[in-house]
Amino acid sequence: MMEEKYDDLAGLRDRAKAEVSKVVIGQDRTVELLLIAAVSHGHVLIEGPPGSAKTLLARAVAHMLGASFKRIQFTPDTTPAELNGSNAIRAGEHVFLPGAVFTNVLLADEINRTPPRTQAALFEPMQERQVTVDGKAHKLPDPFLVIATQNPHEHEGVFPLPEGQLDRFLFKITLEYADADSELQMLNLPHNGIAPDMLGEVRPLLGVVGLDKARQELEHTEVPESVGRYIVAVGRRTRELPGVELGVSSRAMIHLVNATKANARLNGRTTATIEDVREMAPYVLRHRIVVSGDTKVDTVLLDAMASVPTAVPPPVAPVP
Amino acid sequence: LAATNGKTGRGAIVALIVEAPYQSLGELREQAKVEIAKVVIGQERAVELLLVAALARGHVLLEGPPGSAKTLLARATAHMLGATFKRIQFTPDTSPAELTGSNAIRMGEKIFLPGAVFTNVLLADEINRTPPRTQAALLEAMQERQVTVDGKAHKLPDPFLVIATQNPYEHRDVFELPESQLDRFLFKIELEYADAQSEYQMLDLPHRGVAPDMLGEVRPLLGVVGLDRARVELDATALPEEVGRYMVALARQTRDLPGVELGVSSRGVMHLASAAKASARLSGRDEVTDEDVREIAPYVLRHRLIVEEGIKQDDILAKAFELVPAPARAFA
Repeated sequence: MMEEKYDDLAGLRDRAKAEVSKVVIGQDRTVELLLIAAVSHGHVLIEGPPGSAKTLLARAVAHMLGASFKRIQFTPDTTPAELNGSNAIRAGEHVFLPGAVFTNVLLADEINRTPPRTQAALFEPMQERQVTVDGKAHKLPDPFLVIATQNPHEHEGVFPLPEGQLDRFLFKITLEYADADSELQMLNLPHNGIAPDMLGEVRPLLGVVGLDKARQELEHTEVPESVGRYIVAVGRRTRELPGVELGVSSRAMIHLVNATKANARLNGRTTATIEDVREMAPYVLRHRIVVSGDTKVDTVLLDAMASVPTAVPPPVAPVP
Repeated sequence: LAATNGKTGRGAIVALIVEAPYQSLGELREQAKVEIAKVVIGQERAVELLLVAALARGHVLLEGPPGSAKTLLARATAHMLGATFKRIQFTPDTSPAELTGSNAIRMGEKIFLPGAVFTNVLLADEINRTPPRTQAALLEAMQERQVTVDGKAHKLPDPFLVIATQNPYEHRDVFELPESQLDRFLFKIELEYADAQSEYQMLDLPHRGVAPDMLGEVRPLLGVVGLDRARVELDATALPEEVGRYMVALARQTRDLPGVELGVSSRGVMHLASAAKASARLSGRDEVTDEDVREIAPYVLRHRLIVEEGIKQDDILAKAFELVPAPARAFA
C-alpha cells in the first residue's frame, strides 16, 4: 500500500477534500459525507442529475481510500447474477465467477432503472456483507461500501426504491450542480469531462489498514447520555408529527449515532455533541420519512429538532 | 500507403500508423473536407464536427434517415484519420459480449477474443435498436476506455472514437437512450439529406452508392501519431476567463428557463469547452472566442436538454443565447 500516513481523523478530512478536489470541483460536502460513510460502515445513495460528477466522485473517493473500485450500470435487463456472480464449469472445473459486488467500493449506477429483483440482490450484500450463490455463501471484501446513484429526472422505466430499502442507506445525498465559479474552474481540469483518467493525481490516504485504524478510533468516540437521548427523542418525534405516514426507524437512530460519532472525530473531537447530531440528521433521516399530502420532509425534520429540547431529561416514568 | 505496426498486446490491437504530415490544424480542416468529399458529398459540416470530436476525445451520435451516408461518413472519417475501423450493427438480440469480447479456450489455452470495441473508430449502427444492457456496455466502454470481461480489465486502443447512429423514423422495437446516457456524447449531429445540387453530383460518384470501396481515394491525413500531436496543440489552446464565464452562464441559464426539465449539466459545460477549443484550433486560432462557442453550442448542448412536451430544444438554446450577454471582445 502506498497510502500516506494520517495522524488523526481530523486532519484526514481536509486532506481528503484537497485530494478529491484535484478531479472533482465544488462538491466538498459530499466528499466529507462519503468519508463519514466509509469509516462508519454505511452505504450511500446519491441523487443527482446526469453529469454532476457522481461517478467521478465515487471513483475518486475509492482511490483516496486506497480501495478497489467497480461500477455497475443498472438497466431494466440487469440480472442478479451480474451483481452476485455465478457458478460455471471451466475446463472441467467448477469455478465461481464473482460478480460486481466483489470489491471495496461499488458504484451502483442508476439503481432505480432496474427491476425490484435485481435491486433486492444488491440489498443482501449491503446488509449481510456476503452473497449466496447456489446455496454457497461467499464473503465480500472488507471494507464494502455501496454508492448507489439515482437520477431524479428519469421518467420512463423507473422502479422507485421501496421505503424498506431506502432505510438501509446511511445517507441520502442530494447532489446539486456546483456553483458558477466551480463550474468555471472545471473547464481547466485536464480531463475535460471526457477522459477522467486523472485519478493518478489523487493520493491514496487510507488503505484498508488505515481504514481499520480509523474505525477503531471511531468506536472510542464518546456519546454523552444527553446526546443519545436527543437522538432518540428527535427520532420518536418524527413518528408523531402531523402529516407523517412513517417516521424514522430504530435502525435510523443507530445510523444517526454512527454518523454523529464520525462527524465529531473528523472535527477533531473525541466526544459527540448535539451540534454533530443536527449537522448529520438531514442526510441520515430525510430519506426515511414518508409524508402525506403537502407536508415537506424538511419541515418535519426541522419541527422535530426544534420541538425537542436540547437537554432531554430522562423519562420520568420508567418505560413499561 | 501505410506501414502497419504490429503492436499486438493482450487485446491484439493493431494500430495503423500513417505518415501524412499536416502543416497546421487550420489547414487540416480544409484538407479533411476535400478528402472526404471524394466519397461523401454535401456533408461538410458533419465532417468538420467529426474531426472536432476526434481531436477532443469525444463521441458522436449521428441521427439521420436511412441512406443519408451515415456509415460511409464514419468509414471515410476513420480512413482520413488513418485509424482502424469496425462496425457493429445493433439488433434486438446483440449481446454485450459481442461488443466487449469474451474468454474462450482454444487448444487448451485460455484466450481473450476481443469484441467490436477494440478499434480506433467504432461505428455503432442503430444504437436504439438494442436493449439497455447492450447499450450500457457500449457507454461504459466509451466512458472508461476499457472493458472488463470476467473480472479482467482490457484497455482500448487510443484514439477510441464511437460514432453511434440512430434512425429517428424507426418506430418498432425501439429502445430509446435514457437522458443520462445521451449526456455522454460530445455531439449529436442531425444529418439531413444533402441539397439538390449535391444529390445531383452524387449521381456521378464512381461508387454509385452500391459498392463504396472507394476509400482508397481518401488520403489518410493524421495517423495515430499525428492525432496525438494535434491533441497536444489542442490542450495548449487558451480559454480566456470571460469566454469560460460565458459558457458557464449559458449552461446555468438553460437550467432556469421555463419549460426545461433538465438543463445542461456540468459535464455539458466541460464538453462545450473542449469542443470550442478544437473548433478554434481548426479555424487557425490558439484562443477560444465567444464565436466558437456560439458555432459549436447547438451540437454539444441540444441533446442534453430535456424539455416539456411541445417545447423545442432549439428554442431553449436560442433563448439562453438571447438572455446571456456575450463577453465584450478585447481588440488587440
